Amino acid sequence: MVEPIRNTDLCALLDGECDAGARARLEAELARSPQCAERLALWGRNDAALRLAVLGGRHAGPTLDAPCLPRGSQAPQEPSLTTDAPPRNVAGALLAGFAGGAACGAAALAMILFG
Amino acid sequence: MSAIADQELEVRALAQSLRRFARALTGAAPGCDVAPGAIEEALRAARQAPDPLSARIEGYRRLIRRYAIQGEPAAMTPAARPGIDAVLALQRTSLDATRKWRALSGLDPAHRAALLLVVVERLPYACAAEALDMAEADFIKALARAREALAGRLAALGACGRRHLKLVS
Repeated sequence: MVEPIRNTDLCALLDGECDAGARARLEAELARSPQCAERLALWGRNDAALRLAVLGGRHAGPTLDAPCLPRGSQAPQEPSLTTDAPPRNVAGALLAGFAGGAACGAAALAMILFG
Repeated sequence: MSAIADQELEVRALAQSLRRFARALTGAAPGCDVAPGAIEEALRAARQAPDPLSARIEGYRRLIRRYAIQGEPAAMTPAARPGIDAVLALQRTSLDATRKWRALSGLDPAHRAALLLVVVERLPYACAAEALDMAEADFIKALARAREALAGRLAALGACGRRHLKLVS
């Protein structure tokens, strides 16, 4: 009898925490279970969105479409646009300024929509 | 590079990581940090650890105890480094990122911590469980519940956002 896929299995698969044998078994199961495959894809998208919200655009990290980076050894670094290390690319900084204006507008819209 | 310089870089990276974790854990407003005292206390504890990974775990553990377990309200200060925080704040203020940020902030604090440790800080399960003072098996169950809860909240906020958009138009 085939074991059903549990949510903890999906987590382990998503986070690269299962060994090769378990991974192969789960992937075979997922091919037969579109609901579980959809949940896994959704969680992968949510993870990427969470990284984007906390770390910013350049650190959104992998989604299910890309292999996971090895975890554990290095904390992800925040963008190096600090006051003590100015951006090297002046054009990029200007563009970031314009994008900032647009983002402020989006923030105002968000406040109106979401209170 | 000298060993002292290496060590200094490690400490700066750890401080940065703890500040980011604390901000996300407490749902700090864009451009705000949790009070520096909390980060300094976590850093002091981390420095007693024998290696860099243990230091990270100890730092996160202190912040989790303070904000997720004891439920201490986070005292906010304007961000110490406006350059970086202004950039991060702007990135958070797009409509979609705001929705994600709100969904995360509404989760149970232990679930939020579990998600942040694995998804953002990229700790292996064993280390994340240690930071939360949980058995690994319990941690994996908590992480799965956290992902379910986040998906549920995002779906609810998305539906809410669409309703508001319809009213506006």
